[in-house]
Amino acid sequence: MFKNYLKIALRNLKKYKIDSFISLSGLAIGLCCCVILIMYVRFEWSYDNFHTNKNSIYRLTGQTVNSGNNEVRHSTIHPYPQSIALEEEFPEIKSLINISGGSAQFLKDGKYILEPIKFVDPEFLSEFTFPLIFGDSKTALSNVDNIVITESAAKKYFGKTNAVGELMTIRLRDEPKDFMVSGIAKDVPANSSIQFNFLLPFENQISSASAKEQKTLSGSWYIGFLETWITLKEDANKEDLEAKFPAFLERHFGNSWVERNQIQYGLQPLSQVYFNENYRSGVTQSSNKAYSLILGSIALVILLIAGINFMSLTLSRYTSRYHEIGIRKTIGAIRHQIKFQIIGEVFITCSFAIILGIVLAELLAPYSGVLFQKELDLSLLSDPVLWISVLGLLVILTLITSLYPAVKISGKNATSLFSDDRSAQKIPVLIKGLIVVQFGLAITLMIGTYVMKGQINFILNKDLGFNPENVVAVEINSELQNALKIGQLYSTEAQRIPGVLSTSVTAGEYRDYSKYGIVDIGMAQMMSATTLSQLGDGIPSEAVDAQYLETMDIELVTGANFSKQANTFPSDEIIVNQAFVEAMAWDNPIGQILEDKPEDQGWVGPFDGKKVIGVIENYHFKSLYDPLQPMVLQHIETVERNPGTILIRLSSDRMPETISNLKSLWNSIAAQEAFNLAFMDDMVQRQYNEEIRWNRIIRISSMASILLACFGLFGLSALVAQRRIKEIGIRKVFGASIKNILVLISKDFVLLVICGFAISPPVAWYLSNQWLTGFSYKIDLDALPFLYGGLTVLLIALTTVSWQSVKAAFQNPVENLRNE
Amino acid sequence: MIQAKNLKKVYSTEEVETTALNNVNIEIKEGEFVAIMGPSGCGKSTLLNIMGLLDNPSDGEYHFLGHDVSNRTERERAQLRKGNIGFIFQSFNLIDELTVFENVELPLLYLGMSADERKEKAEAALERMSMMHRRNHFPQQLSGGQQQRVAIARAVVANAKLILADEPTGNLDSDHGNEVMKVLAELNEQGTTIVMVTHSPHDADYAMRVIHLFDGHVVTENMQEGFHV
Repeated sequence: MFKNYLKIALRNLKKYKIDSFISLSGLAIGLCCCVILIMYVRFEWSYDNFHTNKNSIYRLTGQTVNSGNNEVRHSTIHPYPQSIALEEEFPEIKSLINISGGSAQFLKDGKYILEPIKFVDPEFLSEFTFPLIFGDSKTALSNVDNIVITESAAKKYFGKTNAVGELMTIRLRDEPKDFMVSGIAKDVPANSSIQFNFLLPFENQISSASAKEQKTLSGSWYIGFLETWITLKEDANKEDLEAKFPAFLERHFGNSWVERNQIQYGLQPLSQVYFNENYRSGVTQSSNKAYSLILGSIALVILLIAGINFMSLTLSRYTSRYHEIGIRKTIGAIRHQIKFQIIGEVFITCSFAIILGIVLAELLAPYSGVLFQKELDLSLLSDPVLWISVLGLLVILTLITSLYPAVKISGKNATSLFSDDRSAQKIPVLIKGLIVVQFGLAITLMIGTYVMKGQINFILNKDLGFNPENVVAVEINSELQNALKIGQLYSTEAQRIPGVLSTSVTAGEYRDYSKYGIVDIGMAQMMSATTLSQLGDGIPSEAVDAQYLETMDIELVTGANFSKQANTFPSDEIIVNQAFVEAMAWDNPIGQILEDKPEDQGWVGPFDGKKVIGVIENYHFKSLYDPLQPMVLQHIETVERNPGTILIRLSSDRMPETISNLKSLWNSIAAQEAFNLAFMDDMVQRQYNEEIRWNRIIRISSMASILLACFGLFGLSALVAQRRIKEIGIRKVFGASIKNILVLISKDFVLLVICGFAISPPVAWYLSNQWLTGFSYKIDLDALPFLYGGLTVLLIALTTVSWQSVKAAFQNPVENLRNE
Repeated sequence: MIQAKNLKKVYSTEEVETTALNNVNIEIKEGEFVAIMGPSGCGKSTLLNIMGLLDNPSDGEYHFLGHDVSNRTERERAQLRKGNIGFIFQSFNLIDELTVFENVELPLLYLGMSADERKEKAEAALERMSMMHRRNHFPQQLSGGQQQRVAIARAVVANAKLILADEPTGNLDSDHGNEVMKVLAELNEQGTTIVMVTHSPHDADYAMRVIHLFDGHVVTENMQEGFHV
């Protein structure tokens, strides 16, 4: 009997080629999209799962509250002496690992290449699960002159995997130094929030600084530059340790400091590092959990849409098989045999589609990186979760699709099956409901995509208070002893190059490491502690020269800029932004002198005694996730800081030529230093890379879901047109125009899409609003995205349906009637 | 074999009630060949459906092979139908997706016979209808007459005691129609009871007895000349 069902199922697939193709391939494509998206979501959720000790590793976090505006700030950055104190005072800590990120220049074939590095304590390799292929995890980082590199780094620098014992020449500061490769780590898995190719013992972070800086870094409790990671002993408890932090803070920072800034410390489990965007870190990668939830939901929506297509097409096809089932009943089939036949057939076609979908997903998985812009290893076929889900899906889809026709058709008696055969022309109510749901979902996604796109455009086009267009940032290694000299010389000489409008030297490190997933515009990144409660827990500042405002196109609102004449600026002059003036509630800011001296401590704020000479317009020196903050500009020569970047504003004409001249100039001034140039507008845009990336993924997935929904509509309208062929013939014989027929076939479907549109706005509005709350600067939700979303989908749906309607309308009525 | 007493069949919709059969009394003995005639809409097909246990009467009694089947469930009717009644339709009603052999084999499948047994019986039925050479063809590849022969093969494959034919020559030209009537007559000679609805007096001539229906009533019952029950 089963063989008979299989035969019928296959022959029916063959007979109704178009709708079989649509329902099968639709389900297969839908499943394929869903599997790939879900695998990616699972990848996102699998971050850091591979660490054996994942349940006992924590990152020390800090939270402060700005008493001025009650803004809560999160940080993972801590001072060095604190690490030593923590280890000494808390016996429950098994090991404490300091980690910080940075970059260094590696000598290869006579040229220095800039590479991102991590400075870590020796326990890093034994506490985290980053196994060594060669070398001993316990001792590899115990010698300060050792370096651990990954397998790919070994291949890149030595052309072989086992490079243990080889020397690498690295410039952390001015002078190059040799490090011995002591271990080769397996390449870091893509789902690790800590990524690295080079690990150096932590002492190098401090010893590579200048003598003055070394003292500050190793001794100051107020300068944070590292992340503190802790593993707990087996009998220790996270909450118990956290409860001891307030007393610890008071002991070391003093009561008034802790109270004023409402400092709290906490322990963040490794498993929460990736999805906690509150703590943006230079050591770990992070992502917004909402996106993977959105993507997971889209995956399910796609599957639902494909499932609904499959169901509605299968159901519609069954109404045209009343006759066949009537014959079967007449010649002796009993009710459960008919039921079994229908369920069996659906099971067979469904399995077929599912197998096709999995094969498709397996074939496409290697290319999924193009969509996700992340290299990931999707091993589909070996994943038991996939197989269990697919089996579940098969059963659910078979039951939902087949139970309704099975019960409905098998319950009819043979005579009514024969007489109902011709009357089954209308779309059944169940299918209508399914189409409404399908288009409701598709339109919701479309609206969401428009909202996202609108917000991203808003961010990218927002007036930042400075103009990043046509500005390039040329990197200077600020560790060089003669960095200031090089910077100033280059800046002056560059102004002579045609196409260069202005140049400026700044201490900020404007770096584009986007190929490593790190973008650091580095504007106003110096953070100085302050006792002025109006300014919160610190004042961001940047050390610049007098051309900075002109080069960055920042407007001076009142007062004066720094003097452009060399050696004529008093060291106590500062320029502040409008937010600073507002925070200080100054009516007349020019000439104000800052007092930043706490009464109970010997410590003096770095801006104590500084005089305001000018006020600039607020500009967004941080990304638009953060609100505008008070900030200070100082002259670079008054703060004894080396420049990190030379900013150059170019004319938009003949830019490639100007850049090539800039490179030649660099090579003539600092031949031994690599020429690294980054475009400011690219860097600004890359701050939102994660949003742009997710918008792309979500846009493509939404389009896929709409196309799938239309795919189903196409099949269904074909089926309806085919079934109403006699009616169309009769109508045409009695004078119906082509237009009448078009309206006749299309109107039902269009109405359904409109019903779908009616249910989507509340859902879309709620979800869009949720997403937008993450931004400090955002668009106002108006009717436009809703209108666009609905109209786009309606237009696509209308085109889809008219295809079939036009075909039906143009057929010769005589033929239509004869066919019947 | 068949006794119908005061059979009544009423079709009702929300607004209209149509009486298709009204107090019909019929008796058909085993081995008979009965033709039912009458104008369109007189209730011929309704009567045939009730006789074939495809439908229940609204009122009255119906006995088939000694069982009262007036108000049986669909399941019970299906059980009784299987193997006892074969159907032949004007439009052949072969399943397009199945081959000639598979169509003929279908009733045996529902009887739960083994594959070997099915093969033997289906081939015998096809042989009997001279359709063996077409066993692997699909219905659309056959002429109307051939399709009806396959339908007859399907009706007799399970050795049905009763064959109900609803205008079996209605869609055929006269040559193919005659061919089909001869086959039915042969079957009747071999002992199968046949009840046939027809518009054609020529086809009715093959029957022993002709029942005339009009507006749901039996108006006349004639024994054909030369036939005796």
